[in-house]
Amino acid sequence: MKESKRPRNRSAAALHLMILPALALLLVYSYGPMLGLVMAFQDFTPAQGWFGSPWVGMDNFKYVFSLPNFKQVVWNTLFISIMEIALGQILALVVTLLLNEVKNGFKRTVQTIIYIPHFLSWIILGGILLEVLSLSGIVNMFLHRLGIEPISFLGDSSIFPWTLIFSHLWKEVGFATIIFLAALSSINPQLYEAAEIDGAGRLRKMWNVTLPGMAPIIILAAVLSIGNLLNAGFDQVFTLYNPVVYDTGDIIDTFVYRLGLVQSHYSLATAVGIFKSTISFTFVALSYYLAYRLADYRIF
Amino acid sequence: MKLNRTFVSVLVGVMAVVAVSACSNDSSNEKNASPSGSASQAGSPASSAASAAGPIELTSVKMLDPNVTFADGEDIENNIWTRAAKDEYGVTITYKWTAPSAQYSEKVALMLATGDLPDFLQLDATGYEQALKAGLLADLTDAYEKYASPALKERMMLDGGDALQAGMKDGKMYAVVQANSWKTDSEQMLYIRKDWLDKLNLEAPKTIDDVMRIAEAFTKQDPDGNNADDTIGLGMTLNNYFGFLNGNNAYRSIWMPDGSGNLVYSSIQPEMRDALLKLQQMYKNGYIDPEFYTKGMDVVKTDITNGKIGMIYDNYVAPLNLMDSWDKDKNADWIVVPQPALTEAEYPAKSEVKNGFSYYLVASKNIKNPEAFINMINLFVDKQSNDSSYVTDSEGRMVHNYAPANISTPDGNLYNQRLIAKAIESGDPEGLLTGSNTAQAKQNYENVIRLQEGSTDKTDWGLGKIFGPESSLSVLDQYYFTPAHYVKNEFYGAPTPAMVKYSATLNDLEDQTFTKIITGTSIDSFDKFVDNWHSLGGDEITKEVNAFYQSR
Repeated sequence: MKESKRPRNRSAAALHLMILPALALLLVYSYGPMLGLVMAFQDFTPAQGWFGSPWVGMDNFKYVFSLPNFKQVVWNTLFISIMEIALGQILALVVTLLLNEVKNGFKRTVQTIIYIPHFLSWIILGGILLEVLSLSGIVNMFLHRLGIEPISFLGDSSIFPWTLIFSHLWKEVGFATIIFLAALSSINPQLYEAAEIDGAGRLRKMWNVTLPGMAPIIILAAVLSIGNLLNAGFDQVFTLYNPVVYDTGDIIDTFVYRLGLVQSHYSLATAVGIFKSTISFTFVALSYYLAYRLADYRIF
Repeated sequence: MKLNRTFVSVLVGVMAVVAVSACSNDSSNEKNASPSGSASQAGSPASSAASAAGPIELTSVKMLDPNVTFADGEDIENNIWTRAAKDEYGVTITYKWTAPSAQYSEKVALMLATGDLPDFLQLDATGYEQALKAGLLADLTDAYEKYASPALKERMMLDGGDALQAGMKDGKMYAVVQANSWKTDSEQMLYIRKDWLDKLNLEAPKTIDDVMRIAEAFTKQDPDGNNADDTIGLGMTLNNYFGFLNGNNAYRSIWMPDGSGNLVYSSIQPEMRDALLKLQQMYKNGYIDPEFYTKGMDVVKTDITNGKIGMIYDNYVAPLNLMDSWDKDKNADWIVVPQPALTEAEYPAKSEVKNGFSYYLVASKNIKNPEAFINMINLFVDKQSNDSSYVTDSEGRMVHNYAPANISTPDGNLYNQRLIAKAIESGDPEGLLTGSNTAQAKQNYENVIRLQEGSTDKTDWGLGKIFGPESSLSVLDQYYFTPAHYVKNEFYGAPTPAMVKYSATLNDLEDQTFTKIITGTSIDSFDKFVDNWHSLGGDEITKEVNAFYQSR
């Protein structure tokens, strides 16, 4: 036993050595900058640096939490991202199931069309949406034809979050179907044949074969996206929002941008960053645990 | 343990690639100027009396954008300006690095962090404040007093001495400060479609009530005569309605005297409440774009070009935004008038101006020859006013960008307009050569002449409406260039500690409250905003601003 293990260890040592460059990169560019986290506990000014800036303990955190709109901002972030995740999963699943029922040529065309928005940046799409969704834009012109009063998609704070959610779905659902379609192709065709012999129709097959076959992937995708709960999409919100809809559309990232970067207020921005990372870390740990329990998926 | 040689060599190879790419990343940003040795080849030393005392070497860093080009064989350390510095003052300049403007302040921040400054450099307000606090700067009081040329001293007083003050601390001078053209840049005037006024038999407005009446007529009475309800009275973005506020004696986000020797914040005054109510009314009646808050100036400009907008508040460069409208419809006759006021007696209303400083020229406390640094500024002032070959060369290169240190005349465009108007009146363009930016003055003079001769080119129209005898700058000169006609932001310099801490939140609150009031939220939220402003740090900021004000 012992002797047979030795050569394996040797090659493993060489392999481990090969990780070194990547590890060095990680240390220098990912772990090194983490030293900057001390800024959150300092009254940081670049001139005085990390070592010269005075320590202020938890003051930055206290200040951020005492801001009148911080709670609202956290709530907005959660609401928007939960909706995006939940509706995104459901919609992607529905689209996948529907695509699965149609012929290949048509399927590919539809897939390509619904992928396209994913590859455009929000800066471009934001400009287009501002135009399309404005009061005199094409959507409202259409509604006007139907006799519906124009809707202020971008200026009504009760509607704005839904504008964000649905434009996000429009952009990302097509891409999300890829993983589900991949899961579909791994289902053993014999199961369908067996079901057919037993007299199952399309809906039956979908319900009793397709869905159970996809279940682990669905759960996995849902659970892993929990880690992104506090990322409601900076680019999107930043290009679409305005002061009128701050109360429902402002998310943590845009808030920190205005608070921290515009004013070069590094300490506050770092404090909020730590707050966000801590919560996200908890969620990631939780989702990892859930993924293991529900879908039997483990990374390590 | 014996390692597989192949693995090791692969490993070493990978690491080498990583190391090389990391290095090349760093070095590509450094110094896009060529080797510094080339500077010493040019010009003969000892060619002038000034260098008799021996060569003086200064180090600096420079903001240099990629669009600045050099003649063959020249670079930032070897050009017409460095030769003049050497010949006239015996000064050789070495740049530790150059960087495009987008990266400049970041690189300077690094230098400030390590405290390793070159002999002289250019800082922004925040950098200046930091360097001053950290004690990195040289006291320039004596050097400026003794060596600054009369022309430089005169230039520094053009803004009434504010710039000079901004570089002083406790009676000592630490920076030679470039005043920006705040007088011309920030003053708001009202631009109106004269053809629409004529069509509806209306007079140019004198009061805010007139403005509101005209806005109504422009919105409802089909001024473009196309039988469609598709026009808007007043063009507006989130950032340009303070002209309307000014007409109501309300001022946006400035610090102004309260009459008893203290400064107060303008946005929380009762006049603001009334002004916002009027905007709310205009919005409700449809005289303002119902979605103005999502629109930037680019979108508003499209509406203007398409003949949808009849009035807009803007500064003197507005004709450049309006010229496409004229290009498309030659009947679009935009005129510019001073700001309408609350009553006719107060006409024209005072405009708010935010005085400010573009940058601070400072010297390191370790500089050996502070007088040489001052001489570099003297050199610029002298050459820029007397020799246009130091501004633009025969091939059109903007050689003034090579200058080691730069203090320009603020409000240069306004002075140019005066010269152009005089030249047009006398028919003699010779006078244009006495300005500080002769090349541009000549160019704009030709725009004006061409427009008078019936040019249909939109650039001639745009620049003609800015620089002509009757233009945005002539109205500005006539009504707004003297202190009695504007309300100045009395606070300048780097943000105070409380501002750094609270102003982001307070500005947010202000933007949000004002926009929501205009779009229909009850005006009671203004009173709540004022209370919140005081309790969320506004009082602390007020104290610090007044401490600054008293210490001046």
